[in-house]
Amino acid sequence: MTRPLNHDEASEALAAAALDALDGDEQAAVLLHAEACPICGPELAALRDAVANLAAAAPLPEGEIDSRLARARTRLLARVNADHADRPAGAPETAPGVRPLMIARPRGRFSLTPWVSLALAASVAGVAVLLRDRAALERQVAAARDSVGTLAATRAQLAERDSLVHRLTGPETVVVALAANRGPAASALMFWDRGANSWTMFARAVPPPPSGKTYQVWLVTPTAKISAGTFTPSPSGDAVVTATYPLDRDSLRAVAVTEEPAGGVPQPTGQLVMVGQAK
Amino acid sequence: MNPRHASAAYLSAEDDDPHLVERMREGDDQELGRVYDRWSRAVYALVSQLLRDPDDADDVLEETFYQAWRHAGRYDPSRGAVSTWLLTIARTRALDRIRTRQRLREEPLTPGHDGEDLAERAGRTAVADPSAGPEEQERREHVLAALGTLPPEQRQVVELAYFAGLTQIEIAARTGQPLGTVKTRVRLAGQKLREKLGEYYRGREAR
Repeated sequence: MTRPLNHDEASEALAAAALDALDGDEQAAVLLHAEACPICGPELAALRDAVANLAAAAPLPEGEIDSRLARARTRLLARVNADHADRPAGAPETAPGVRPLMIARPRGRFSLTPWVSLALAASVAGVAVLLRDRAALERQVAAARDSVGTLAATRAQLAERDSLVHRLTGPETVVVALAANRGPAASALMFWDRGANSWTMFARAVPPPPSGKTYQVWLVTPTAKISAGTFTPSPSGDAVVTATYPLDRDSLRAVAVTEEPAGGVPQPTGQLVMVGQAK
Repeated sequence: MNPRHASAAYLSAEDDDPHLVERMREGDDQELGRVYDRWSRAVYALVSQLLRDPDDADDVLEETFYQAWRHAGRYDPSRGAVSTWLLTIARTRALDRIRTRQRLREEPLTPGHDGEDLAERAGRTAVADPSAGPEEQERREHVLAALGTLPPEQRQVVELAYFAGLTQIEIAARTGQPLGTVKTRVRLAGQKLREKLGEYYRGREAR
């Protein structure tokens, strides 16, 4: 779990954060601080701009750069167009101005000459070869389909990861740190993406609930305590809770976790386990 | 072309970037082409420097702009310029690829980073790249000049962090310097680069 940094600690590490030269936890802690700090936030943005300019110092490699850039541009725009078209998978694609190949039906009477018979015999042999090739091609197509399936799954995972990163670090995200109400062990961070109305809480060191009990998360406003779901921590004490709930931007006062009967309750009744005030 | 005019055109082009991204967000592919034409060379130079493999660099170049198109709605002008956003995506993708490659082949994390002085190599290639526009040349010269003002030990930590993707701990291990010393060098170098490059861009805006 990320330890919150004070201003001096975060300020010292801003240049390293701009260079992505911190280890994961420290990088996250600096970004969290900068998100809320009116001094470190703009300073980090300025350092990032400066650091990004270092790319201009990278020499272009030798070789056919322009043709490589042009080929990548063509692939990129084709990919984007394909996304736009939103065609069903496997649907045929015909470039504008290209007519599909038509096989003309023979007109009038015709007779099989010896030459044609010879050609037909050769064709039979050719068909056998084609059938063998077709079987090989079908195996390749099946393998390609498997690859496409794997690629689609990987893309879906990446999209999910990107979505999570955005929920945690987006410009509309507010972070509430929860601490244990009694004892030092449990803690949690709630990320509220106000643009998407999404809530994501990471908890750690939470002890297992007593038998027949569960933990329930509450969004506390001046007029209501709204349930954001129940959870049971993993054996190592970790838990992730996600919820979608629209809330007025200024109405959140606190986030709390209570111990409740299994299945949850409409309003909190049990012991307060963790709480964090919204700033 | 008069370099002064070239700079002015370049500046106005950069000023227009957020609008291009805004229209890209609305699904305008032509704007994606314009953003690509403006920044693909810078992105390609960066990922080539990091990856040292032309095919990997091609892939990451395409992936960078595809991701930018897909997620144009996430660009926030208050967090930096469009070029910063694109180059950050590109660098992250390139480092991901290096780490994947490293896992697959047990390669070191510093592909081809042979310690050759970057400024020296960049200067040599700039001369050998006549297709680079005057704006690119000017920007490169200023960045190299800013790097050149850093003491060698500060320039080294910046290059190892930015172009080889090393963390401060990894830099300390590689250079044999105490971690505290590396942290100090990174911090001082960051301040100087911000000051020098900030002066340059403020100067351009005043033209």
